[in-house]
Amino acid sequence: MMDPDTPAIRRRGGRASVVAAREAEKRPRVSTIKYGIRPVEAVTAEQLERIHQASLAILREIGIEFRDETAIRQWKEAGADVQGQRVRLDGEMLMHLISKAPSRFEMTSRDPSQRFEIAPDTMTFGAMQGAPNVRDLQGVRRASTIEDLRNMNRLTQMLPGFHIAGGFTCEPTDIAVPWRHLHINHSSLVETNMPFFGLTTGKQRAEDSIAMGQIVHGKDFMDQNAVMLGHVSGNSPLVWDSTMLEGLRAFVEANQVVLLSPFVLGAANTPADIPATIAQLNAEALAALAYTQLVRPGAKMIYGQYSVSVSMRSGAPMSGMPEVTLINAVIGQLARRYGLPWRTTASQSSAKTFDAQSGYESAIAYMSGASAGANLMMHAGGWDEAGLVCCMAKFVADAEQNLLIEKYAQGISFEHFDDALEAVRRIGPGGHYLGDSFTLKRFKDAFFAPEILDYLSYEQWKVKGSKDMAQRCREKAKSIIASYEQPPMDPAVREELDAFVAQRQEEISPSIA
Amino acid sequence: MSDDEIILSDLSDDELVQQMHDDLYDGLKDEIEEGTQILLERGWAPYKVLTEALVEGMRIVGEDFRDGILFVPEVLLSANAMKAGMFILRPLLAATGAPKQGKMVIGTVKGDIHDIGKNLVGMMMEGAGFDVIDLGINNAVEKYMAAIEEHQPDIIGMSALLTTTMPYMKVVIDTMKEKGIRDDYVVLVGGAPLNEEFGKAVGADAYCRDAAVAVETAKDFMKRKHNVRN
Ligand code: B1M
Repeated sequence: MMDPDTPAIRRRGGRASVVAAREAEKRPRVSTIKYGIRPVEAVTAEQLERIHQASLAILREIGIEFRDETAIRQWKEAGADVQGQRVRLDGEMLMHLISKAPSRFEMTSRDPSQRFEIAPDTMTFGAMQGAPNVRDLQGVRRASTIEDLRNMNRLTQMLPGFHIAGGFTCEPTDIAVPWRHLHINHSSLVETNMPFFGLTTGKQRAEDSIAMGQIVHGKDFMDQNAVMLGHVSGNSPLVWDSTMLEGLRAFVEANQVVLLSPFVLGAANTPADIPATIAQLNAEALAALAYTQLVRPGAKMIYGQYSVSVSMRSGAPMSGMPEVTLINAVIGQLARRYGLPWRTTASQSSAKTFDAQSGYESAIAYMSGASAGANLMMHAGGWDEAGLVCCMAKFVADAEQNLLIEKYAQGISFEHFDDALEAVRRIGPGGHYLGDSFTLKRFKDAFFAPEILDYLSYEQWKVKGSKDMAQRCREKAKSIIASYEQPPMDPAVREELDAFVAQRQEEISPSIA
Repeated sequence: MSDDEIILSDLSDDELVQQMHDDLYDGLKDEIEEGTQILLERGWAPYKVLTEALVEGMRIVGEDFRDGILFVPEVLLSANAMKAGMFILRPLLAATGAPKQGKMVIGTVKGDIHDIGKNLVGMMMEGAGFDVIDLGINNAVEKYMAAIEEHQPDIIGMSALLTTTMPYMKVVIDTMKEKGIRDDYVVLVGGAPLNEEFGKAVGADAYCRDAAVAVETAKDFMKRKHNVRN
């Protein structure tokens, strides 16, 4: 029996049109991803309440340091108990401030098709940032340059799977430090047309970042729309410092998004205990989140956190560990309680080559974040050696993983359930579904079809050159970079952007060659 | 007899030194203080107590840390026990003109707040008998210069974790050169994004890839300084 809904098989234009259609079907850039799965909860409601109360007690009784004159003044004006740099906050004031934050907000860019929502029920992917080294297209580890950064941005722009460009996915170490941030932002803005991370380490760098964003997007546009994120790390235990808070203010005042990340190095800067670690981390996050609302009520912000445990053999950070998975689950529960989007670190690894360790650690980090309902999957591309290397091959592999994880997060659709059950009737016992009309209609979307992961037979794989994953990824990266085209930019805007860089270089330090 | 009941003063010199090595390993501060006192009372030269009982004990601790047998918090305890012994010995060592183990000023450079690695280095250096003056994080060149003047160290240690703050090490070294004091001190640098080449380029005496190497390197420079060879 034929499926009555399926039209008879017709001419579709032969090879040429099928190939063209298949190309066009390649996923467009991801838009808002809505969670369909239920998040894993690692603690009961009572246990969550105990952690929340412990965080409030930490802030009320021990307090937290804001090593920054402006912040101290603002806290005093707001009526907090301030002694020196120590700020003690009562729970009511804290939660009142936090309640001013939007639960959901959009990010966009100069390309209006790039528009997605960051919210407690959505998922967003950002490329890695901060690596001083690359593992390059030959697989060689070396200090990264501006050309490497440009290539990373080209890859970010071309590969589906990323919402947000990393900003300094790798560090252009060949550019003098005082000028570097200008070139980093320049590359984000020219090589991509995506929302991106600006630089937050200090007032000047943050203000230059915002100014460059405004040249390209227009100040009015940015006053209304979020196109940039600023990442602000805390200095656990219980310190927020001036450098980072200056960055925070610059971003928030320009209506851009801030990501506030306490930094757990379990047992080094938090207690050697999971719930107490979370209580401290949460206290640090709440204080910074509340402060952000003090600077600008309604400011868009993300509950950040970077969690790793620490090797007691060397002090080195360790990813992929079970404790981090548990911490993620609880942070997810807390953030949903506060009605805020939160961030995890997807795809982190400490491996020195793109090997099994790299794959295992990253896969665990991905699943740990996704199953906990993380809303910003940060560093989701390239991260190896605990962040000291951006691996170009891994970046390509991770981009595919992002699509796979996206599909997992979206959960199970019942849209075709009844039709599919009809197919069960049609085929009955002993047949197969490969030629069934329902399979033909649905096979492209029903099951994910990766390109990088390899499912050939041994003989097929051998004929294709016996290439391992890293090699396949490097080849793909090379071909993407070769076919890359810069997104269009009004020449006048480009000129203004270039002129800004030149002028700021001159102002900052004309003597650097 | 259980270990707890060991009466240190009943032990022979050799047994006591052995026991102190074990007590250092176990991080027993009070026992190390007591053992140090006993050896001094028995007429041991302070320098002999330092080298044979304490430094040798910490050498074993350092090796087992390197080999992954001991963990950071345990080494921290050992280092504290060592410090307690050093506290007793320090004035005596100075009075007897014994060769100094060495003094180090260490800090994270300006613009940088990463300090876990630096703290580990400081702790291991103390464990090896060095006097360590920790300047903390975010140190401008003036801080280093003031500390040099105040403490007259043998070694200047600098840590940086950011590629944007690493170059500041050169600012410190160049300032030392300008003041004509560069060659009076050993400059050691470290931090995850650094490497051998960078250490050379900024004009440091050595780059140290981890805390154990920092200790070895520091000891080596002190030996050269005192012209001791073994
Ligand atoms: C004699 O003198 C000596 C001798 C030997 C010495 C020595 C001195 N110093 C070190 N050694 C050596 O011995 C030690 C022991 O064996 C070793 O020390 P290490 O410090 O290497 O090792 C430690 C035992 C463990 N390692 C660490 O503690 C560092 C781990 C990583 C993950 C890291 C951490 C923990 C932090 N961070 Co930051 N952080 C990263 C780091 C990535 C990494 N894998 O290194 C790095 C360095 N951070 C980075 C960034 C970007 C940042 N961080 C920031 C903040 C922080 C925290 C405060 C949150 C936290 C530090 C907490 C603390 N109290 O130290 C921000 C900057 C703040 C600032 N102004 O400094 C911020 C800018 C992030 C932001 N936007 O907020 C990146 C560097 C970027 C770059 N290209 O330069 C980074 C590589 C991670 C990444 N990919 O993003 C040796 O190097």
